Amino acid sequence: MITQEDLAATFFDVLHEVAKTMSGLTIKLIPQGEPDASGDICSVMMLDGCVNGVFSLSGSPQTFRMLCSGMIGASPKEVKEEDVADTLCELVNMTAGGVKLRLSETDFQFALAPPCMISLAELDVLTSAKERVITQVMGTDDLAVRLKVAY
Amino acid sequence: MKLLIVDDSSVIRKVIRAATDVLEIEAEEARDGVEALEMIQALHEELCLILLDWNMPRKNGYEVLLEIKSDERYKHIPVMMVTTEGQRDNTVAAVRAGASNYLTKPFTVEEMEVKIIECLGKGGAR
Repeated sequence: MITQEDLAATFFDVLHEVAKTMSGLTIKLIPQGEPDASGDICSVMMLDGCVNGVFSLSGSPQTFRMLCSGMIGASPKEVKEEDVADTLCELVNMTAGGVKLRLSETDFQFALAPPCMISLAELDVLTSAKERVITQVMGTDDLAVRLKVAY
Repeated sequence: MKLLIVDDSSVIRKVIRAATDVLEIEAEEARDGVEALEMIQALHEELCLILLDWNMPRKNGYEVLLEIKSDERYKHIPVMMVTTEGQRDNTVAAVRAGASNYLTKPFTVEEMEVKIIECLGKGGAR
């Protein structure tokens, strides 16, 4: 059975690779000290299969505006509002896809589902009944992304 | 000649468009499988390549691929599947169904450029 530590490392690794490849930004783990989450946006994917879990990414709109800017090669001011949310959902989609492949030989099996935007309050409801919850904060000096896996 | 980008993500369409701009290839965009088939019907005589996302609303990329490859009017148009890593097994099925190539997300603009050139070299015309 995969440990929570291994699972956390895998999600971090894949998100790091996705962000680096798509936006050119290098992210690192930020020591836990909960950043202010007010105004954060959140995208979630339900992980159905052998695991019955939830994977989410959240952060400030400005964080995902910066990531989008790197992805499409435009200045942050040129990034459209709808592209900010789309970037967040795509990061969830690509990260979940990469994790699924890396864990294909483990008991952590799941099907990819369409990611969707939800509020942090709704995320709390989704994750509150889960037995295990992994929370990581990662980013650059200017950006912070909160990753949560609950199963 | 035109290239058709089919993806429900506006950001991914923009990343792909960055590659087609570098290659100076005119590109059209569709947001899902149904819209893609409508555009293929209208543009098929001009299309040199279709870049097809797998997971899309209304009709997924594999279903669109099967329709393209079973239609005498469109089957000659090369199709490249663009998927997430977790769908790699599905991509093998897509290649067997007639896809010319595939690229997994995440990808860089440069990787997309190389794949487009490969596809056009195999079966397309610029």
